[in-house]
Amino acid sequence: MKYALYLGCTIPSRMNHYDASTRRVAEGLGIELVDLEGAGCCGPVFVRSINRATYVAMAARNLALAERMGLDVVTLCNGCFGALVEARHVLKEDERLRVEVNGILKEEGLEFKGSSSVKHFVQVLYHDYGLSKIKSRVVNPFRGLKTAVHYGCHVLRPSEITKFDRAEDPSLLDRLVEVTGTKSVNWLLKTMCCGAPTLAASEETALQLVKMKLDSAKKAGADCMVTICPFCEVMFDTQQLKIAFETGQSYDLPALFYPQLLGLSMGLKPDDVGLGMNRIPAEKVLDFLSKKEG
Amino acid sequence: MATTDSAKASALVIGGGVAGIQAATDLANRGCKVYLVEKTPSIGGRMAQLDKTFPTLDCSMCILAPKMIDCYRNPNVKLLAYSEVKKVSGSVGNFTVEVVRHPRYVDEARCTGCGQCAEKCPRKVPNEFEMGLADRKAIYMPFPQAVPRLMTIDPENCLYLTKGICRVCEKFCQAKAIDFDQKPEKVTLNVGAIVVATGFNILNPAVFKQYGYGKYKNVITALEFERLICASGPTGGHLVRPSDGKIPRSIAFIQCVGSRDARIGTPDCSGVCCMYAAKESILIKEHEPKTDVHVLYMDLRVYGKGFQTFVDRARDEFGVKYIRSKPGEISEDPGTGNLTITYEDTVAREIKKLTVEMVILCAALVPRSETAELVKMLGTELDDYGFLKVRHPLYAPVDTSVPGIFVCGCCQGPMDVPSSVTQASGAAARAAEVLTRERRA
Amino acid sequence: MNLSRCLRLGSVEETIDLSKLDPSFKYEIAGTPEGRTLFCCYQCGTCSSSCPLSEMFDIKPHLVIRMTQLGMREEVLSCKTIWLCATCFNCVERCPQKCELSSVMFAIKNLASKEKGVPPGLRALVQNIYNLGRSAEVSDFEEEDRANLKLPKTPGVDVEAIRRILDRTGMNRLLEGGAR
Repeated sequence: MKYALYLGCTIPSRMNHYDASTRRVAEGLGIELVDLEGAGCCGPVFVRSINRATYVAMAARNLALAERMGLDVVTLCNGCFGALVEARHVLKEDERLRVEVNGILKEEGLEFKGSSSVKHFVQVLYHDYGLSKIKSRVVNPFRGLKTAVHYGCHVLRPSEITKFDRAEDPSLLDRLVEVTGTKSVNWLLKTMCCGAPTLAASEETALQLVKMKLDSAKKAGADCMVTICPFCEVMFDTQQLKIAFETGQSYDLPALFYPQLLGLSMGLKPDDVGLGMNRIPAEKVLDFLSKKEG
Repeated sequence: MATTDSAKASALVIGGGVAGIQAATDLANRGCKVYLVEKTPSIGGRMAQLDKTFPTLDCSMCILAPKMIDCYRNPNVKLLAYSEVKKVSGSVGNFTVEVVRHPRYVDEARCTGCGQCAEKCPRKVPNEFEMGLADRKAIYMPFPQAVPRLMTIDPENCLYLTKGICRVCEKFCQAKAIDFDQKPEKVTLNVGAIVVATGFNILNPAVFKQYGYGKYKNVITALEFERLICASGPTGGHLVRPSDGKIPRSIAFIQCVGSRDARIGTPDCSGVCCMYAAKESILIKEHEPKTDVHVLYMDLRVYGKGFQTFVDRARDEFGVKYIRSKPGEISEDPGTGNLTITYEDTVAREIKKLTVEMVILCAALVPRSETAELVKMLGTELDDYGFLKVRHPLYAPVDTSVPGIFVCGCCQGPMDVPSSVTQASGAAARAAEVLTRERRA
Repeated sequence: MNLSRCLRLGSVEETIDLSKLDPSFKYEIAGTPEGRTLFCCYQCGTCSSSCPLSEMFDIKPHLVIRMTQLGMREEVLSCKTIWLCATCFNCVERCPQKCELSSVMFAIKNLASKEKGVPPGLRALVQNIYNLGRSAEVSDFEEEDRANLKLPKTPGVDVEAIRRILDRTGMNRLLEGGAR
């Protein structure tokens, strides 16, 4: 199992612990991730909002780079996933657009053909690697840890294009979370947006969504949250801290990346998964591990 | 086996709902011999499941039962209930139809329908007629007014037929009517014309996960509600909600669940839901005047005679609240079982949350899955939505593409009871025409 | 909604001035690949009920569609809704008419970017992409974090190639169109 790892912009600029925990987990499982060299920004929604052609071309370029390596693309960010999957879909259907975009890519010797698929890392874990094999690697399962699983919008919808899971009641990530021994709680606003794309336009509006989500998770009895997107993490981690700071409202709900959770249950140390970099202190989840550090 | 001569005077009606019953009776009254084949143990169909009909608010069974009896007793009608069509060959004037008669394991000549066996039977099974809201026994009569008035043993759940134990029914049957040695019987019919009246199903709204059907106990379908409110239903007509048996103090109807939907269900309108929601709202208000009733709708399609005034009556006389909106989602408060509907009141232009104690989904009318198999046997066609296709909606609205085979009622498309009955008479007339022509030839 | 009810509510609904409508606006949007499902909408309100930000918008999502169909160009291109939209696609997922509302929003935003300019928050992000090839900077601090985590250096970006794309697809011209 070898894939081109596409990091996107948010991870290297502020969420390197997501990168670290993913690579450690992949190493431990025997999944090979090779960096997509030269790749730039994926063409996220704010680019698509301003000019669609720019977005499609940016996404196509990254896809073409992976095609040149002969590998499928694996993303860790929902925004990148959504952008690449949608771009690949429209480019395969719209010949005129494809010709136009390839005309630009040709200048650096690249061509988009559509031969590389786009996968989110958790899809690789679930479909390509398999739950039972992951379970066999969970040597230090959690006990009694309740987590509010947050999928994020751009992997789930539009479900006809992303083909990730059912949009209204997904289960892929819940199963992956539960294989670590954690319980995934049933929370009302589970599939609601975290508000990230609104942040650039209005921080106040975006934070209202975050508050609704955190309230819902807390109400369902969650001890922590799990995300699979660095920007969702920004909302639940960095912004949770900001809310606590500015309004005094403290949720004490650490937000972990899924590979951090999985890595810890696979026996990795907190430093290996960059647990210290989570802004809302996440060390309390360590108390739920069956075998604690001496 | 009937001779070719009498074939030219015989017709087959497939389906014993109100349309099939009407068609069979009409044909019989014209002197044609009619075989009425019905899959379930009794005729009656969907209309038997309804409490009242719109727009007159007549008791459904009170209208239907006399028709059922008339049909059954008509000397020209041979009712083959609990039977299925298995093969059709031939052509107009001379169809050969193989019908399999499923064994009831009850002697039809002896059974009086007294029901003692069912009282003693130890095996409980969800009752299909009651839409799963109540149980029946493995030996059962589908509903009290069943025609023919016979008990039937369900071979998939009977303890004797599956495990070789019990036989309590036999012990208590005073008419000695239990007969476990019965076998399926193949009957070959020779008929000149066929009328298809196999009816409809409703879409299972569990496919709309955002509405929570199947997950939230107090979200039910309209057909389930009909059984709930019906005096002969599982609660004796008392309006109580599934989760806790309490009287709901607020109820909301959601229209167009799977209708006018390009994605799930059917892009067409199901025709009857705006009216039956108004009807059911009035029934609720008659039972529990203090209960708030809301109907969430996109458009009100109430085009028939007396229909608009019926809805106006629901709104003005009975105080049913009509809200123009299709809701985004329904969530449940697990503690109380109450449901919160998030919707946009498109007239007031505000997002609102409505908390009610019960939600009734008006799910789309869809074709039965068996219709597709039947169509293959008959050689007729299905339209793009899986309903039976008519030869032409304007000049041959009850004919199919196969001469001699006619269609009526909801198997052809969603329609209300008056329309089904009208079509049935139409199909019967067409079939009779064919039979007369063939007889003279 | 009859007149007597309007008067009872104490207001008469605002009327739309037909002379201010632009009948070509709907074709401008519907003619784009993103906006092609504009005419599907039958105003059921499911999108607005499913939208997490609906209450915070100045114009509800289904009304944005209706106003576009009517040709209320000014109101639609300058509303807050289109830029606040979180692109969560919940509306698209639930629309019974398969109207791709979020995509129609993108089409409107593309046109608004041309005619009204790009909002400053987004402009800054695109500027980053032009300067760095990425929407956010990976500074020495982040590289230090990576080293501490025993990660390789951040993969390189071909900034020239990204700039070429921005130029060839007309993004640079859009940004030059002045601040909003």
